[in-house]
Amino acid sequence: MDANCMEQAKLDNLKFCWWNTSLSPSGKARKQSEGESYQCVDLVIREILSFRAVDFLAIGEVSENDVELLKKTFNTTQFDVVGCHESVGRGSFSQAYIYNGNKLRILKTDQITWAVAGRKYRAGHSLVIECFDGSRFLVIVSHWPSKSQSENDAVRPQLASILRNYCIDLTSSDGGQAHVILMGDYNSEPFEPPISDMLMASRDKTRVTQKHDLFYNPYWNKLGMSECSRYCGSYYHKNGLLSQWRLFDQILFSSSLVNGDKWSVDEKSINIGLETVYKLVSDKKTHFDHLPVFAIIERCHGEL
Amino acid sequence: MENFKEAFEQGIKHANETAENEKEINQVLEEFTTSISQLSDGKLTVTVEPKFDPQNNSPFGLAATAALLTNTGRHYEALVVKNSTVEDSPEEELCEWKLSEKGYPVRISYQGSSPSCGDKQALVECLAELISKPRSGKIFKKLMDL
Repeated sequence: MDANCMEQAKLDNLKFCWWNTSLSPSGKARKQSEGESYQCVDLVIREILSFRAVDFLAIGEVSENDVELLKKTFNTTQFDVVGCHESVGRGSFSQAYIYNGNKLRILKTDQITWAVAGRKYRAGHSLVIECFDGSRFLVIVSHWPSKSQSENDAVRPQLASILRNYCIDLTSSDGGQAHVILMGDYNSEPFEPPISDMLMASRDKTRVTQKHDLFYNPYWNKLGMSECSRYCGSYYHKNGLLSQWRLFDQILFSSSLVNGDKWSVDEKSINIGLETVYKLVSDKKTHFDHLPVFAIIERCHGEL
Repeated sequence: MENFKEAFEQGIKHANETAENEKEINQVLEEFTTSISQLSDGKLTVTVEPKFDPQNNSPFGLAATAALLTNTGRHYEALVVKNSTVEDSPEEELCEWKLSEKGYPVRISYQGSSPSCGDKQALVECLAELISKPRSGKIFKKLMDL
């Protein structure tokens, strides 16, 4: 897009999506049905980008090989594909971003980690994104350690604290607030201490507008079976004792994105799932267990 | 008085823990700076310096991210290296340096990496990783060649 067009064009909204693909846990491809799984993921990603018109899609549990295949797939489209793969302690960053290159670009990235007692953990991967109209956002994509090992219960609150302090330190010395969007598979539900107490992501939008250091978590609205049909959560746990559904995947917003100043979260856009992925997740023969989560931020009325 | 007794004691306990942590962090930092000095035949000196970058000149770290996002600068501290045997030696930033309220975790931030170090062992390992990076090596070499 040439400079004149960029200056004249107006950006009304940005559509975000996070999906833990379950394709290659820890960045290593599964041994069985590798090609078949990739085909499924490829189809879902196309659906997310075309029918949901998502501008920025972050995907988890993908290998470097998966990312290379995705780059080939989207080579002739407006979508750019960027991978994030690096060993951190016993695990590794294994995520990627597919975004509309006509609409935004990535300016800067940072790997946020926590090292203690000879171990190292991933808190998140931060990306400064710039839209064609000059709007800038910080997106931090996380995949925190699983609940399957109890020792991780002590790790997730620390990762939340690390992430929170990182975001607080982005405030400029004159008090300027950054637009921050957190997304990922936190292996914690909205009401659990890592998200609610440590990260301080609140259900109360009014409170978040008053207190700038809180995050807004619109996914509280997606808890409770009475509000959902067929599935209620983003993660399907077939052996779950009390519930087979858990809401581990969320998109959270800084106060600056709910106070109605320049950008605001579109509540109606907060969604979980796609029918295609639901079918994969509920099929016992597949290893897919996460649904994608969606959110849109809109430019506030009167903002140019 | 009873209402405040527990809180008061808690505050003293936290202050003591913080002092212990900061002492340990300073020891690591001293060992780090001494090693750099010795390994460079006394040429390189590393210090913690206050910084402010309103023009977003810093190529890395949280200050640069904050400047990109808010279009204004942010005060921070950095580990800075210079050749102390040369008059008017330029100073180069190795990383941002941020202690938490209780000392640990210490966050160092440089070129696409922001590890928070939760204890002494982690801090030593993260500082070692920092200076093993090509960018750090280039800075050391450039300053030593002055």
